[in-house]
Amino acid sequence: MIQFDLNGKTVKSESADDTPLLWVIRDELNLKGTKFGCGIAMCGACTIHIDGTPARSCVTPVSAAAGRSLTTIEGLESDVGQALQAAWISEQVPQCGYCQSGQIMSAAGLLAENPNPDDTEINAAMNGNLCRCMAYTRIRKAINVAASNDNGGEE
Amino acid sequence: MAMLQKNSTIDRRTFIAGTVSTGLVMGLGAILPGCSREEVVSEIVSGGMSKLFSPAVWFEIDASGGIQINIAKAEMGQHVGTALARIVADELGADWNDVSIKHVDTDPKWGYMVTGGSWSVFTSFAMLSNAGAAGRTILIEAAAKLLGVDEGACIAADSRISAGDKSISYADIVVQGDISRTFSDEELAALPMLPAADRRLIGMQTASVDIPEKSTGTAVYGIDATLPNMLYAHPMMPPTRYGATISSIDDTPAKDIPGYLQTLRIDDPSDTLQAWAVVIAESYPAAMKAADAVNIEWQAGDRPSVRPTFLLRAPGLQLIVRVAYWWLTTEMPLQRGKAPPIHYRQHTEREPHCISRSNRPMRWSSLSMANATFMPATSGSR
Repeated sequence: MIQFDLNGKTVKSESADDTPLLWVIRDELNLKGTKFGCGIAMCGACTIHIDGTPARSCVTPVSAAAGRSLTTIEGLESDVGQALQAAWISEQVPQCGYCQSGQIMSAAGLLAENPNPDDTEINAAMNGNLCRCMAYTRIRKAINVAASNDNGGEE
Repeated sequence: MAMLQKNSTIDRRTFIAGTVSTGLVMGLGAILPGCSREEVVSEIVSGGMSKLFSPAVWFEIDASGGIQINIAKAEMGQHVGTALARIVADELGADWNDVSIKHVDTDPKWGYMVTGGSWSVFTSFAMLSNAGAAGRTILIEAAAKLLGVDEGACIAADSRISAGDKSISYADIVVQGDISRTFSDEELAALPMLPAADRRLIGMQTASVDIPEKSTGTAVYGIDATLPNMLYAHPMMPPTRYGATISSIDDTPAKDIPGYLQTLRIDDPSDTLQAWAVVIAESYPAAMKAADAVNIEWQAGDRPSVRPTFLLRAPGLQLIVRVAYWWLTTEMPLQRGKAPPIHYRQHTEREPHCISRSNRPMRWSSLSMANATFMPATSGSR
C-alpha cells in the first residue's frame, strides 16, 4: 500500500508498485481530468505536479509518489492556476480539449517558477505538450494573459 | 386535459412541446399506432413519456430560464455543439448566456450520429431552425395570453418576449404557462424564419459553451466513461493490412500479469478488421502490459508483393495514373513557388476511441481505431 497527498488530501493506493501513477489517479482514485495520451511521456496529456513540479504521470510508477504531494487539474487552486484557467476561457483556448489539463499543469509549473516568461521561454517550457487541434498560438496567448494578470496587467 | 382520439397510422414526424415538472420540453418523434398527438402531449405532461412516445428532445427550458440544447453529433474539437446550439438559440430568441449543451446517448432515436464530412451543420440546419422557430412560436403564444397582448405584437429576444412596454422572461413563461402543443411537418415548415439580418448568433463571434469544462478537467470524454464490470481491450494489429491471417497466438508470458484475462481473435463479418486480436484485462495498465507480453505471429496476404508495375497493368487504374500524370505535369507547375495556403490539421481527436460490445463493455487502449465502432467523444452517458 502506498500513501501520498493528492490535491491536499491523504490518499492510499492498493495498486502494484510499478503501476503508472496515471491509472491510479484516474481509475483507482477516480479523478478523470488527467488524460492518457501516448503512455510513453511524449505528449504531456498526463501532466500532474509532484511536489509542485510538472511530471508525466503515465511513466511515473505509483511507488515514486510515496510520501509526496501531488496536484492534478482538479486541485489546481493556486493563484497562478486560477489565472491560467480564467485565461484559457477568455482566450477560448480549447478545441477538443483533451490535452488541455496537461497544458494547464505545465503552464502552471512554468508560471510558478517564472511569473513573466517571454514567448521563447513559454515555447521552451511547453515544448513537451502536444495539441492535436493545434491550439498552440492560443495556449501561448493565454499564458501571456495569465502572467500579466498576475503581474498587474503587463503584456 | 387533452381530447383522446385513436389514429391508426404512425405520425412519423411530430414536433411536440409540453410543460413538465422540470420545465418545458420540446422534441420530435414518432408516435406509436393508436395514439393521438393529444394523448402524447398529456402523456408528456403527466411525466410518463416513455409509454406512448420516446421523443428525441431537442431542447428544454427549465424554471430558472436555463436552456439546454441536446446535441446528437460527436464533438472532436470542432465545437459542433456550439454550432448546432446557435442555430436553435437564434430562432428561439435565446440569451446565449442561458444556453448549455448536452451530448446525448447513442439511442437510435437520435438518427444518424456519425459526425464527419463537414455535414453536421448543413444537414441539421433546417431541422434545428424549425425547432427553434417552433419554440419561439409557442413561447409567444403563451406570453401573449399571460401579458394580455396580441401575438403579432410580440418580439422574442434575450430570452424574453416583449410587446410594447410589457415583457416576460422565458423562465416566467415556463413557470406560469400551461403549454401543450404539437406541430405537423407542414406546420413546422410554414413557421416564419428569422431573417438573416436579424440573426444575433449565427455568423457572429460567440463563446463556445463547452470551453469552461474543457479548461477545468471536468469535460467527460469517451475514455472517462465507466460501466459496471468494464473490461479493457488492447488491439493487436497485423503489420500488413489486407489479406493477413493470424498464424499463432502465444499468451503464456502474459498469464502471470495480474488482471490479464485472455487474448481473442476478432472475427469481423465486415472484413474491415482483418487478422486483429484483442488483449483483454481487468484494467487499462494490465491490458497494455499484457499486450507487450503476448506473442502473435501473422501471415501476410499477397498485397505486400504488389508493385507499382502491377497497378499500371490494371486498365481502370491506368486511367487514374494518367489523370494524376496530367495533373502533375500541367497543374503542379502553377503551384510551384507558392507557399501552401493553410496548415493541414488531422481530423480526429486526441483521445483513444472506445467501443462497447459483447456481454461486457470494453474499451480499446489504442490511439488508432479509425475503423472501429466508436462512441461520441464527449458522451453524456458515463
